Amino acid sequence: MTQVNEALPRTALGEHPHALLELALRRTASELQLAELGRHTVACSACAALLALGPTLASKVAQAPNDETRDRRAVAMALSASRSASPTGRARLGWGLAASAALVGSVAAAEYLGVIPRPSPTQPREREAEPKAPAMPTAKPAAKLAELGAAAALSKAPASAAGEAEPSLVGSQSLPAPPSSVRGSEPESQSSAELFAAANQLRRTGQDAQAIQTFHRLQRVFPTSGEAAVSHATLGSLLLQRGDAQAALSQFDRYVAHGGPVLEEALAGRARALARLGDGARERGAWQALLARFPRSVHAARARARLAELR
Amino acid sequence: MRQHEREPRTMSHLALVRNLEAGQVARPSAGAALDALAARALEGQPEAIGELLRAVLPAVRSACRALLGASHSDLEDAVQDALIAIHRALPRYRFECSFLHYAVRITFRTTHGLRRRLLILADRFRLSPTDQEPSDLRGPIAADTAVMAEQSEALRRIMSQLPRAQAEALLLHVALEYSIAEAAAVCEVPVNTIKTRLRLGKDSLRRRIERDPKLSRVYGGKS
Repeated sequence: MTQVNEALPRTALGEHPHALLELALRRTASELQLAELGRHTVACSACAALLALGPTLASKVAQAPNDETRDRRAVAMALSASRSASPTGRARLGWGLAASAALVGSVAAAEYLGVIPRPSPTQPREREAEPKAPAMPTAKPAAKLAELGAAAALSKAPASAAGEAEPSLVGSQSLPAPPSSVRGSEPESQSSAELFAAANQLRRTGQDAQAIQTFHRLQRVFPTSGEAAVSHATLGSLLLQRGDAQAALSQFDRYVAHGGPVLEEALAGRARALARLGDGARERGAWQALLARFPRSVHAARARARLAELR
Repeated sequence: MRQHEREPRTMSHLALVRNLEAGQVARPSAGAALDALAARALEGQPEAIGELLRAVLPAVRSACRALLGASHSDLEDAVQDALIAIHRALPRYRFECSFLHYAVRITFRTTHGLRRRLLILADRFRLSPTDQEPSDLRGPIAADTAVMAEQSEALRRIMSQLPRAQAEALLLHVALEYSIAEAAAVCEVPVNTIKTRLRLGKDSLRRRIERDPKLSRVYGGKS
């Protein structure tokens, strides 16, 4: 700055008339304003050049007639190139991470409080058996998980009424360890943690249909587990992405009824599901509930926009 | 001026932005606002994602041209890089600014990166930097227009060589015709910061114009 001040008088340096230049470039400056700008440009080569060449420069970067063909090709290529890491895929990953983090926290807290018995040294913890997500899915685990998903019997029946009524591990810390008798009648070789991990791995590798089956199975076989409680939000999101708004709504409703660490996302998901179903009255209530509970939510702007539209 | 004869064939960046924000162009379907389109795209609707990218593409291309020049050999690569980055950044869009501003900001970031890589490559293999290509005239035009085009390209090149923040502020304000407030929104900084960047940018620009043979003859030497 010192060098600059030595090079030119102060009036020509620190006080470039940005606003006047903007008016002149938009051709909305008055004669008086142009005269004032003219006095400055005599001393300032930068403003003089910008004033003279700005319009030409703007026209050179403007949209050209032959851009449309290139535009179509560019969009097609961008969509194709991004498919391997699609936004929805990343969103799904975000859901999974949030759900996993919530689950880990909840299980740790429950263990600490004695709600869930700690595993004995001879009995390995369920989570230790959880396969770690590979950086790139390899054929072998993917095939194994596909097998798991295919083996899971697809049932459209939601979790039992008892499952809906019972308190969630995430929302409450008073849940007793589920007795094996409530785990369903079919033989189950996998733990709830293993099923949850398998479902998430299927989801991460883009096998949404099988992930949905596995989440359903988790909810059916281990309805009182912490994993099942968390899975309502994740499964709701997955179902919504696949266009099954009614089923998604059911999942979000069950998550919201119990609450939990991803409640904000579940409330937003519930409102989106209602929007898809065209239920404006209930959608309005859902967005209002979100804003009341989380006024600074990342979804707040959208909530307000939708509320304005629905008014 | 004769260059105005070409104006009906093009839509300026400013006009494009205004139309897009008002939802008046045919690209976002049925006058849908860009943010509504973004909301649909965020829900994972593939057709909405494509439509959203098509809607912001002219602004993206203009921003690439502003930084690289209209006839830069890697312009299409820059546009492609920007579109992919915008697509990937879609889940992080929080409706806190206009989606168009969000897209232009990403475009500046990716194009700066591409330009830096190209300069490194040019330096490593002793190539002639593409920034120093002759003027990028699109076709035969009149002599006075050609002179203006050549000078404006020289000015653009000097601007793009300024420190990144100053270059962005000047290009947004002059080449892309954003107001100071809009430039601040694109850069996610306060208005006063943009004013400071413009002032510093113009100070640097003036010193460089004095050293530029093309521009100093016309605009320099008056101080």
